[in-house]
Amino acid sequence: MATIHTSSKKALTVKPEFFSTIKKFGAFDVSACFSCGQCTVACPLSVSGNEFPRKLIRYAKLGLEDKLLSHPEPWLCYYCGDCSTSCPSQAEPGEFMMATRRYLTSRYDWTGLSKRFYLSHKWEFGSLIALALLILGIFVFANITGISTMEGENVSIDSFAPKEWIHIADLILGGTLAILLLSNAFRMFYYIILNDKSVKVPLKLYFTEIRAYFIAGLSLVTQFKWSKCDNKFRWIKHLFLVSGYITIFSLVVVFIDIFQVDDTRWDITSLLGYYSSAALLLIALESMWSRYKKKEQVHKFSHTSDWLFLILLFLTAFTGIFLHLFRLMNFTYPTYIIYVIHLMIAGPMLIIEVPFGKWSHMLYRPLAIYFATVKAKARMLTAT
Amino acid sequence: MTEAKKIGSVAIIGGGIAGIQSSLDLADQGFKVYLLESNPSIGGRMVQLDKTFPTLDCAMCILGPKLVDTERHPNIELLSYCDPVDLQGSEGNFTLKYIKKARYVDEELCTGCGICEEKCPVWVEDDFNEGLTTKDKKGREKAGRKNISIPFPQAVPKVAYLQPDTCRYFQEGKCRICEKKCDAGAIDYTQKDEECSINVGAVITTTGFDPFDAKEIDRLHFGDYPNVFTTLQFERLLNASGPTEGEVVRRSDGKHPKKIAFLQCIGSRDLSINKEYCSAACCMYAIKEAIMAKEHDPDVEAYIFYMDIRAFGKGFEEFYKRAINEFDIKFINSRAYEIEENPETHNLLLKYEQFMDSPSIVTAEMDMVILSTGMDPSSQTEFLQERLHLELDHNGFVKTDPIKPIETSVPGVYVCGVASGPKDIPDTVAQASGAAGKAAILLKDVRGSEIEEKKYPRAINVDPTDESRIGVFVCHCGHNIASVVDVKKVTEYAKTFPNVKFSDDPMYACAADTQLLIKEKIKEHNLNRIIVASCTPRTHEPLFRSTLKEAGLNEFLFELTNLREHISWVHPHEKGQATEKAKDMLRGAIARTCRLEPLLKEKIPIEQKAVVVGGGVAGMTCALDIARGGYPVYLIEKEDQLGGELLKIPRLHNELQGEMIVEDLVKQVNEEENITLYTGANLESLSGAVGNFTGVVNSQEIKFGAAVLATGAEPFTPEGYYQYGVDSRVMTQREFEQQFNETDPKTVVMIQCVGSREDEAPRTYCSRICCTTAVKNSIRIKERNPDANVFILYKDIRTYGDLEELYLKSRQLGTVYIGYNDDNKPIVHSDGSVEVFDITLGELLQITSPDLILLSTPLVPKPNEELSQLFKVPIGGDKFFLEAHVKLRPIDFATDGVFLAGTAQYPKFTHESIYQASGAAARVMALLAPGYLLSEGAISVVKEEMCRGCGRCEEICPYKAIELHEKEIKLETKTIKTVKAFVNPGVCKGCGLCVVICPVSAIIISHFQNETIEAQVDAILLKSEPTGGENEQPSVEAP
Repeated sequence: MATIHTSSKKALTVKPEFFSTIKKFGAFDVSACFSCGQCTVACPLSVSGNEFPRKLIRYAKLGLEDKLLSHPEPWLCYYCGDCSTSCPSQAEPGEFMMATRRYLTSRYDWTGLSKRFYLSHKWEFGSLIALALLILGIFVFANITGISTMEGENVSIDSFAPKEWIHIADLILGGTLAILLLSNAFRMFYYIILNDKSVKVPLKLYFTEIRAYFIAGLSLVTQFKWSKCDNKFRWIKHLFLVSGYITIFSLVVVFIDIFQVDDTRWDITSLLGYYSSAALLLIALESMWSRYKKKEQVHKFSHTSDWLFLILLFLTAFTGIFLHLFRLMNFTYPTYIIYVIHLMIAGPMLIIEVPFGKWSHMLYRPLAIYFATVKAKARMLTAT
Repeated sequence: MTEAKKIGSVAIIGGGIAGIQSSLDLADQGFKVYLLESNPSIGGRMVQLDKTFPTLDCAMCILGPKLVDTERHPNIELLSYCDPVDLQGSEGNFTLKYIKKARYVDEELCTGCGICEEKCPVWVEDDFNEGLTTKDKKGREKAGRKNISIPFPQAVPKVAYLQPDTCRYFQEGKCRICEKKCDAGAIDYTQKDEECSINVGAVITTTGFDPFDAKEIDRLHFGDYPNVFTTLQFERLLNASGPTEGEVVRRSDGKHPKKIAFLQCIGSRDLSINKEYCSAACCMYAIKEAIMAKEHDPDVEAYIFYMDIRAFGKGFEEFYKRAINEFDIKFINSRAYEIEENPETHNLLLKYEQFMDSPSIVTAEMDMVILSTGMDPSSQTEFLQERLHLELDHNGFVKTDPIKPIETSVPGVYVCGVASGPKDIPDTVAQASGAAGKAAILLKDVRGSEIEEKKYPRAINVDPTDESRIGVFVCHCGHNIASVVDVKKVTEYAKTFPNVKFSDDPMYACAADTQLLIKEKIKEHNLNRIIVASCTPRTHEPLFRSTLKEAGLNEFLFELTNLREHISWVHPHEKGQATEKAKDMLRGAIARTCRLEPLLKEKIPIEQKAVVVGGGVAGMTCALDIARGGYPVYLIEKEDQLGGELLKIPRLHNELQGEMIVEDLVKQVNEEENITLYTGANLESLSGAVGNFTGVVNSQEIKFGAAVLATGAEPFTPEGYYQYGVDSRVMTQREFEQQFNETDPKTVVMIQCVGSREDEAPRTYCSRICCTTAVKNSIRIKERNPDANVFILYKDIRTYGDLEELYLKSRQLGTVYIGYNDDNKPIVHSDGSVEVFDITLGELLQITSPDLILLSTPLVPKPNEELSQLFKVPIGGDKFFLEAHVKLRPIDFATDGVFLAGTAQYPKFTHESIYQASGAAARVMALLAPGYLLSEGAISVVKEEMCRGCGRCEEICPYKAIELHEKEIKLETKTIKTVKAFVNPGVCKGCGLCVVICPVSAIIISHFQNETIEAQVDAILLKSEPTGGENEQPSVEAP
């Protein structure tokens, strides 16, 4: 028996139990995968050095957890579904990537909440309801203490929810989200770069390659990478959604002063608001329809978190529109009620989804591109 | 209901290699066979192939003789260009309705000369060449075939057919060129589709497959990109009779490709297009085509993109290794997604993932891409389901039971070949014989009832000393010969020889009217020898011989001179010299013919009994089939108990239990009156040859005419491999299966190819079944305990055909498959941990503390040396018995009268052993059925007075027809014992090797005696006068 290993690599211990952990994060069956590699070349985004999904599937199946954590590739996938539709084993590699992103999100999150939200309906719905009630409570409290007053004659949101208080709330919310996100980002950095002993990144690369981050940042906005996928519609839809989302987010968090007004004057913010509402409403509806009909490969499998995300998004936009309409029609009390409901939906959505859920990919995707570039450069340096 | 009268005929639906084999096996037993073929010619897919794996035999060269045999067999009626439409009745008595499609050519009159094809102005797509086209002299693209044509040169029947949809006359009302040009008057525009019906006792369906249509996968751009071909198209490109005459060229620019890629599993193993199964033959044919491409042009680089190379048959693994080592074919373990084309160069870009090296996504530029398309169920299976009410499996193939692999859901209807699932040619042939056997058993009581043996008049006595009175017939073959050779001149030249009493130049020597003419002239001119100067004896000699017999002449007083293949076809541009050559050849033929002697084909009575050695599942099945076919069988089993290896396999991959199968068979064997069973017995000695063997079993003498060796195989004991025998956790799959119920492992590692696929003989082969065994055991473990961890370390997973579905199931249940290669074999450490280098990841992996390490070991043959010597049958390098031909004679030995079945030939599954055993039984029945052997006539004869008994002829005889016999010679004073060679006339094929090897010229071969051949050669070279016989006057050389 010739048993000489040409590889001088250290043996990695196989832990097949690990695979079932990932399986909990999505409906897929990559067990059937026979590692033919077709998915990797079917993918328009997979490139040498950052090839996926086959390699990642292999890591997951063999339980090579550190390997999987050290790879930024799951965030480079935009789930066009080409790999899944053509997969000869129908192992749903695309859905595997989706589940892996959920798994990674839960691993990056140090609070352990993300995992609970993904895997437990009780936790997910419980927190959403609790946060909604908290917001309701704040309004009740504000109303009792007189911080908030309800004008009966003419709608005055400003006195119902004074801008300065909303500003403070925005800042607290924003700060918390930022702290959570940044600490998660650091953990992502740890897993992908620090913990990967196979590559050592010289400090200066982080600065020289920062360009990659900005390009990646731009890609976050334009999602231009997505345009490489065959399904261009999805790219346009996502772009529409993201632009609407960012616009409304900026209006609410940064430009609340000029966005939250009590008069019926028209200005640019109203137009932007309409645009955003349309984007959120239409895309949320379209996506829900597609998920319901399982029209596109990407919508074949729907995790509870996917549904929840779309429903909350829809309701946010829906209540926002009603808020606007009621205000314009000067329905005073309905306006205040819908305002509270609007916040009871939007607030928990942001708090749960941004650091712990799907929305965190806003941060992870450009970071992944950045880390991938830095790592690749570092590898090139050591090779030369 | 009273049982309908059984009918001694069988309809075979499908004229591919399966249908042909079934037809011949049944016809030889005396059944009337109707062979239905939907296409204008029989031959199926095999006729399209260039070479066959693993021997690289020319496909047409090995199939061609079978085509001719089928056409010429008196008991086979070819119903070509016929579609079955309905089947009524029941087992033993069916009525099959079929449509005889209009050919617009009279089959009786057409001689296949090809003039219609030459003159027809309309080009159509050429199915035979898979739609490949050629260019005309001016470089214009033209379709490959004429609208009226013979499908391919070796077509059987060699009759043209016309397609009215594209015919100028049918569409536009004018043309009729073919009608004008056909000298035989065979064109008949008034023909209509005809509904006919036949009564048969049984039906065999051999409808084969349709190649997967690669156009179904858009991203491959087959049909759009000129340099993307299918493997069947590539066969035609490689073939000398193909559209490019064997030149491998690109469609875009006619250049020779230097880089050729083969993409495997196109239309197989792909759930995204609902093809779950593996097509079983594509890996091998791709390897073969890659090798052929290299042989055509050594500068070619050939790449095969594969997932698992499925080289599971006999000689396949060695063939695969040869492809790597000898031909430097590159095997790339990866599946490409799409083909892109460089629009300027028409080169093709293939992107694939390299699993280990960096950069790992590679784009390769190829000059040509070949798609290894899989096998789809034939479009005819729909008919089988609707009209024959056969059950189909979920893949659309005819459903069979694993222990009745050639029986369908309808009694009296059998199936073989790819109709019941993808398989390669040897398996198809074995199964085809098996199906013939089953039909023969069903109809054994009415055997011979539907055929008539042809009666010939008593032959006129021709004495060698009689004057030679020769008739010469020089054939025009339409324009085939006459356009090059001056047939009239040659005919006149023949008349200048005094022995030639008559000569003529018929348009077609083979036409029915010419046969009448020949018979008439024999009578009229008292001719006692005939020469026909026309085409090849391979196809036409039997016809003319039969004409001679009808005229009362001995069939050996005939000579065929080949003016077509030897002259007109090879010298079309040297007409004058061609005519001279024709004269030379004819002169030689006359010299030879004068010296021909009448010979008798001897009828040698045989013992209509058989011996089966080995009482496993193959042996028992075979014995049962022969016995039920009406012949007594001696079944000899070495052990005290019947059953063999199957007894030790508690559960098969198909859920059946080995013991149950054996129990059932043993019961049947015990109940079968025709079987005499010897257990705990060996065949102690053997003498005799085909038809008349005498053996001794348990000191009892038995006589039999044929024997089947079914001695089986046993699992290899992996001493010295992977801590086997050292660590109790390490055991073979078989050992594990036997204690399956007592174990409950948490973590199991299985290692494949332990002791097989090695570099050194004898175990270089792939043992075919071990992958499935491991897959089966993984499923059993996972089904019992879903939390158990099962790892299978493999080189290639070879779950061919529908076994692929088990592989899928095993994966879905969570078995982890880890690929390794020979450079990095797994290591089992002394602490029981296993280290393996994952070739699909490029990482060294460690599996800590498995509870069990199962070694998948090959089947190895039983010690067969003794039997090999007794029966004079060979053993191969792998120590398995070596069959006569791995492709077309998988169950025959080269030695007549001896056959083989089961794992004694090669490792195989139970259902494969069963059909092979039925096949061997059919071969035995075909041999025993007539009750006599017919000697060849032209065989070797020993001149005893000259033989000195050296034995060289015995050694060299490939048919084991020669034995040295002791002889007592009485001299005047004493009796001396000596040894003389003896030729068994029933076995000798007349090949003549013994004649050449004999140092003292003590052996001659009748019909080809030295002086006959010498006279012929001398006459051709004009060294002597072309006369013969003692009384002849030397003639004057003709001007």
